Amino acid sequence: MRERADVVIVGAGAAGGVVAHRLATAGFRVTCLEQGRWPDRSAYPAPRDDWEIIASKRWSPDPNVRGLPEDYPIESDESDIVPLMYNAVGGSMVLYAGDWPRMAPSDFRVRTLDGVADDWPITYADLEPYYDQIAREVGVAGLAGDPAYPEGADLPLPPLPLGPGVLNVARAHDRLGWHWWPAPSAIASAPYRGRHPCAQWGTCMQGCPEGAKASTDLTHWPEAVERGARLITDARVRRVVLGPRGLATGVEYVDEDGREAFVAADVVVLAANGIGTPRLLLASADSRCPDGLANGSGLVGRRLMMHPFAVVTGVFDRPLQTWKGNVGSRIHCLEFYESDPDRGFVRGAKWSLAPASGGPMSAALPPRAGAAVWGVEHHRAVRERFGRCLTWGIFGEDLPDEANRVELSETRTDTAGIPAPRVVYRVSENSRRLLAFHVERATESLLEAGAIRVEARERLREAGWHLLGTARMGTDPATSVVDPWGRAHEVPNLYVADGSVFVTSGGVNPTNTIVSLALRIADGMVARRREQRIPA
Amino acid sequence: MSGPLTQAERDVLAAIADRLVPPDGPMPAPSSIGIAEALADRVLTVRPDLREDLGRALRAYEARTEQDVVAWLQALGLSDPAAWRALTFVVVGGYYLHPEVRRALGYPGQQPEPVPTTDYPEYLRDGLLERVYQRGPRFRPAP
Repeated sequence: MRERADVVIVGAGAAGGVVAHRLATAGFRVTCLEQGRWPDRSAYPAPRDDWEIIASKRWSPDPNVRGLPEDYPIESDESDIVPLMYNAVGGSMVLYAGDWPRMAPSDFRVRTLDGVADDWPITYADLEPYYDQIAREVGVAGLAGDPAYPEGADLPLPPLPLGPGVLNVARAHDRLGWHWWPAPSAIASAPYRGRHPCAQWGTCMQGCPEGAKASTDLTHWPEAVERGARLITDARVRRVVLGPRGLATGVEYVDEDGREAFVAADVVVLAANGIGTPRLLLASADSRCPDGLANGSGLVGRRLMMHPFAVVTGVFDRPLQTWKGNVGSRIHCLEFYESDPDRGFVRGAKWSLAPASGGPMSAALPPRAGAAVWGVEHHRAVRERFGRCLTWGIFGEDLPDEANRVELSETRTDTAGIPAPRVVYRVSENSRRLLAFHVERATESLLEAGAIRVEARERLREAGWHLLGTARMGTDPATSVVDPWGRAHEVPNLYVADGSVFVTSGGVNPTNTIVSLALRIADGMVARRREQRIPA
Repeated sequence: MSGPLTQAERDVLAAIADRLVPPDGPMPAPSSIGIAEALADRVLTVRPDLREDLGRALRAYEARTEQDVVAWLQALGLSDPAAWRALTFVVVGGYYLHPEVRRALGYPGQQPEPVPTTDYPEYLRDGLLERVYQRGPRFRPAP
């Protein structure tokens, strides 16, 4: 099978959906190849009494646990953090919590301000209009005016309710003189562009049955398809094909029936996430580029950043019904986000206060239940915790390190015979110090708020939601893979539009920045369409 | 091992469950609500991948020398973490499915409840958020 498009996009998740929508709107003939399928909202487990049991396997964010036909295995034995993702139209947004912070201005100038890592080739001001536009497209709930950021536009929806107990933490921060703000969330707090408002199912991370949480299968793909974009699901891309003039000519893929197929295109856009995109570039090696496509810098797959994560949980002595409501951040704190040389590390972290969500299973099993949960202590431990815990989730900035990387497995493949990725990742000393400091401060926060006990877990292993940096942008082809507009230095009609292009990670949930960058990259493609080199 | 639990396995599972999650006030004994019958079957229907690991845990229990079940479980967690995970998952997953248990715990299950129509939140009415704003910018200007 062979078809032709102006642009072929690999991956229909967060970035792919935004790029497809923008390009289809501008009149491009777009074909997107997605190895997953359209999500079926009626299959989301929230209404079932056994939802937690189902969630542990079918809806696990770890593809190695899920093991669905549309997943690929990931070798992560040599990684301190397990990479997480979801393969479907909408991508990992189907399972994310919907937290929607921006990166801060300093995140783009880490080298200049802190003398470490690298500056981005763009600034916060460059990205700000895209942050604003994306906020309207996805329907962000929240309040403008957060002093942790420059003044910005109003958000289109009012903030979600804080829920029981959260205001006490805000009052604690008031007494401590610390920052807090209602957290921006990509969950509709009122009807928005055909989407229902949040119904507080409390299962955002197993799919939102209400369709209130933004994911591109809801926010971008329907309109993109209406405007002519063609979306092929169950399509596993094998490689990007390099033509005789050093330009990409299209992509080879394996279709749902296992047949080899090809999409010829003038332009190729990779949006397969920070693991899938370098995997594909490395798998596209040939005699002209034996180390992988667009990899003259040697940085494809390198500098993987995954945001080491800690949770600090406060146990309160009153029911907070924490199984209800959105599971993501209710308020956030950026009091300690910026570097302070007295702390013994650089950069900082965002804290997200969320209910300790889930039903009784999660409260009754370690680690949340603690180690001594069996025997006569069981019911006391569960009663004490279930519905009564609030948690600060702490994402620390993860500085790039070329030793942290995605490679191709020498032994494992997916069902189509495409090499699986192998991830090698170690948490840095800076991250360890950073998390230790933040865990201490977050403990103070919860004790001040009246927690009867505070329990911390640092450096969770099953926490690799944020897959960043493996095809970084920059102006120098010797030290970066793509230019500031996402175009590969070495293959001028090949673009990367996902979290792979991050130069540094910031210390916040990255989806907002990923899609805002994707929109900027797509805008650049539209603006420079006349100059775009294409295969003959 | 695959297929349904044998009666011998069910007997062992019920005995373990009653020791790990003993009855307490309104919380029933696992064996009294069918932990090793319909409830375990429901868990294993959704998670058939746990069957083999569970079987290994049950066999390990029968072969144990340690009489304290909690201590035995702790040792199992070190010697065979997969068996430990399967056993604790089936016991807890089955137990908390039962309506009597949920009632006693005050858990109605996940229920839709429309998000309240936003009025003026308390933190705006009482000036709490305004004080955050008045403390000034928290970000570092960048060139």
